[in-house]
Amino acid sequence: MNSELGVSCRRSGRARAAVRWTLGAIFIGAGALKLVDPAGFHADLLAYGIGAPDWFFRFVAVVLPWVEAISGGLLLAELWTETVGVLVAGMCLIFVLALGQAVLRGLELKCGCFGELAAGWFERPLAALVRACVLLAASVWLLLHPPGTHSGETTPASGLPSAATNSTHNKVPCRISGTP
Amino acid sequence: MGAILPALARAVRAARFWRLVAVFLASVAAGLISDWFRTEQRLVFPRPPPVFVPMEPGR
Repeated sequence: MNSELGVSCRRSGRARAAVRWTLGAIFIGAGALKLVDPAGFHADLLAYGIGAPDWFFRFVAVVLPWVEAISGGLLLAELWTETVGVLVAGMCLIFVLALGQAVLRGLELKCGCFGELAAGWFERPLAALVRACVLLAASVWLLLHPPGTHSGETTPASGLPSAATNSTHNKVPCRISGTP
Repeated sequence: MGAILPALARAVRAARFWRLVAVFLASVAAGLISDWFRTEQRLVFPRPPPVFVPMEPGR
């Protein structure tokens, strides 16, 4: 019983680490590439056609790359994960909304996600929207799987199958006695 | 969906507000400092345009 729980915990931990590392690396890369050319990122932001003053876009172009880089670094280092996860999910949600309105309005623009490195179809709004949706799903999954829990088929107390195995209410702690 | 939303709400409540503020302030500070020390393409602290001073004749 405990060995099954241990296997489930290890699998959940590995999947969580993989998602965390992937998100962290992507956010560090995106932030660093934007930091290289903030003026280009500012021009990309203006192309979204969002009715906000220019000083706001200048501020975003200067600060957002650092938020992304710091969040990515904290994710990789597994520091403040419960807070950074919310921040990353919020940023992904904003990206989805901004790119969604651009796609709906038929705007032809560079997404600006990865600075000047992205080119061709990779920076088209639709491709960027799909990418942002995947990142949002990954960050939400990370939020729903906090460290030290798993959603296995059995509970450690009874060993009986749980009623709703996919429910996040049935998270049980990984660190119990006898569990590696 | 019915189970995800409450779990998401719990995850958001688990976030430490002051850690969010710390990440934001650190990013603002880093962004402003990097913009200040940028030699070109300044966005927040744009350099004033160069003043044209005509050279005096004979110089």
